[in-house]
Amino acid sequence: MATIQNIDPVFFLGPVVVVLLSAGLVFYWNRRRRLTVWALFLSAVAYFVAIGAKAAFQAVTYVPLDTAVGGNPWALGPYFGLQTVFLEVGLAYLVARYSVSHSILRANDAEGYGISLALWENGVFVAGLAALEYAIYFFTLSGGGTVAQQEYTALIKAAPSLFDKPTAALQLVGYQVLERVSSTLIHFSWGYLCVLAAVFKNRRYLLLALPWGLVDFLAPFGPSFSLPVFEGIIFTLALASVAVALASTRGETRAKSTDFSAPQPDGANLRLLFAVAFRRALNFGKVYVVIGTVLPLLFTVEVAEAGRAAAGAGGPALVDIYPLILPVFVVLGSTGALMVFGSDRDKGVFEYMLAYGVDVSQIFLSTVVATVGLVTLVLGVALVVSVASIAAAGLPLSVTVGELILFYTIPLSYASAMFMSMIGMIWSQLTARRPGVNSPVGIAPIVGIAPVLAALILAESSGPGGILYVAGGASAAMVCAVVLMAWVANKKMQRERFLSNA
Amino acid sequence: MAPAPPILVQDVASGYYGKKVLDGISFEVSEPGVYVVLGPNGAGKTTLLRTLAGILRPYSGRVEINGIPSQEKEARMQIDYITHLDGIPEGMKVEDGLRFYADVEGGGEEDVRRVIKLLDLEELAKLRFTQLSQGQKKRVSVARIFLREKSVYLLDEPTSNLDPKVAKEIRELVLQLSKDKVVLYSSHNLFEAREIGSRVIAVKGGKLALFGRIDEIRTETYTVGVRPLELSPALGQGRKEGDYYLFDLRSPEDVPGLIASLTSSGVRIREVREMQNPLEELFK
Repeated sequence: MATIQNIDPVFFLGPVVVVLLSAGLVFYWNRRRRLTVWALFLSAVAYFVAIGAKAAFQAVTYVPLDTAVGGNPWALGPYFGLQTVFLEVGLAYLVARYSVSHSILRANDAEGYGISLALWENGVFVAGLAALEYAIYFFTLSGGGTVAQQEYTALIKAAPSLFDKPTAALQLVGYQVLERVSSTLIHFSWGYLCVLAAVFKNRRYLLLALPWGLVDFLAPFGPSFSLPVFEGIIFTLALASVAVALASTRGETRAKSTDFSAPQPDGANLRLLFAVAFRRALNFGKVYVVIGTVLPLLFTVEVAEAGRAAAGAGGPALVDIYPLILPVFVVLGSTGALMVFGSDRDKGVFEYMLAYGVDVSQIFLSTVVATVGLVTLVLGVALVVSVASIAAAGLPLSVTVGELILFYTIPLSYASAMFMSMIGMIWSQLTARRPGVNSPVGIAPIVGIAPVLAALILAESSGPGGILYVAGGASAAMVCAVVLMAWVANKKMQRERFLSNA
Repeated sequence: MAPAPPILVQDVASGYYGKKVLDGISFEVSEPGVYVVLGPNGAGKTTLLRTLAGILRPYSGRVEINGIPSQEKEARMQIDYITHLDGIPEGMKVEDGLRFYADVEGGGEEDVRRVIKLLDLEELAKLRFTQLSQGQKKRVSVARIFLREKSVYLLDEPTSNLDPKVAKEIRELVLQLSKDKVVLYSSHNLFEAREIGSRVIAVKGGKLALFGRIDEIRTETYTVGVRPLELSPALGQGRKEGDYYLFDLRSPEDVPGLIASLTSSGVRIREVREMQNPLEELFK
């Protein structure tokens, strides 16, 4: 049996530096330049929908393609590059265009939008994933025993560089950070160009933004180069992307400087409105928030105890079940926003909002935004406390649990809560039964839980590894359904449905 | 080119879920002032105001606010509106409710402070809306229209449930507004209508029954009640109703002649009062 060696803690430095860098840029732009909550939210929608779509597409196509082309990078390069062009850059543009047409984003939000895209990619997704993986490796290997031995054997084969000496590890961390800096610059460039393309209806900006997605063309060529050369090429391209973006739009920003500093049109202050919607949803549904946060914790304690007993008897670690069940509680915990929606209509609030120039889509959107806020709160608290409890109980945190949390629990929680919220709103609008447990608002949480359970059943029958694809597919389908329902409701729903019955 | 009228309504049909409540309504409001919207229950007053506010889409015809179709956001942003519902979100304090609407209308904290002072709401500001009496709730609801300056105000029974003192204050504020703004004011109270408005938009059975000046309304009879100090045979020409003897005249201009005739016949008069509002004709 080989001696177990732990990974060097210096690896944690990479994600920490990237998170600090990404968050620092957001903070700086928010304080000194312009970066709004809206830019953060919209860029998150664009980015995570694109990532979900890419994951779903690759789940179906990657293995057959890789087998067919025998891993040829000249075939895989365009495969990855074009996905980024059309999904990441394309969606960033579509979201920007929608937001500009609804006066949510303006020209001076272009930089903030780009910085926000970079935050989600680097500071949250990549760095978060890396930090979680390193933490799981570190704590699993620290624990010793059979699990640690298995983990070590797997890692020494798959990623031997994790066990490099500190000097070599530090060098590796340096290149990781450089790669994220390059990614930050490229995301900034295409986000910036997408917003300006939408504001000024300038196709040239879009055509300048799209090709930067092709940088992923280089991904399969990584092994063909030494690390310094490869990262050097990417960094050079990233610098070029920023230069092109700023140089190509310089005339526009100078000529239309007034548009950049123009005050908001005299209308609803949607940023404040959405913040109020979240606060009210939290206040309205605080009991549900507590239920959504505390119940999974109790469940975790139960699971941890059962897991300890089962592990002692050689059975499966039941802790793996926890991430699968959590979305159910999150959906329950986020019903406050829907309750506010039901109450507001009964009180005649929507009648006033419509009269004051707020659109139907903005009413729906404020509820969805508040739901997303509640999901973040419930999920954040539940995950942090639960994972800490599992670790404190001495149960191993496997890579599987980490993957499940990232690719199952989080996307499915957000998607099913948004789905519940939108279904509840539409149903509530179409029926006269408004208050009470029997009302759509009362029944909607069950509707939101149903897809989670359906995904779980489908996942069980899809074999090992299939669960993540099922979760990704189900999440993407629910987000698409939410967008479609919002669009149809905005176009077709009679305004009188927003009036109170009172 | 002449500026567009504040309100233009052309052959409008409107209602709920495809069922027409208003049909063939046309009028144009081109001057500032208070326009009293009158009509019996179910006549379509609220539907008219909701259609003007852009809440209901007309089935046919044209509604424009300052030349912009009422459905457009830009048109709705030029309107202020209150309905019979208070519309303060559940669980909010008074000042939070006003702040909420200030945000919706693109206003700020200074607007909230100004309105709280204007309508003397300081003592209520920190209370939850549910803790208020009906009259206080109405005051807060009405306060909303003073948050932002608009060019058209649509007020659906703003003084219902208010005590006479507060109702009078609200009417005075509305009258101040109407010096350079268009105010459409629906009311069931015919005497209030005459007190506040100079023009009337009467709706009956979903149709426009009258659009014009209140003082131009001509009725077939004008009834006054005479309350004498003591009985007199000369009062026999009138119908007795309680302490009053009712006389049907052709118009208010005939009142001095009636008084002269009665006093010359030896009737000592304690009081003469209008027993029928000419606007009641519109409700028949």
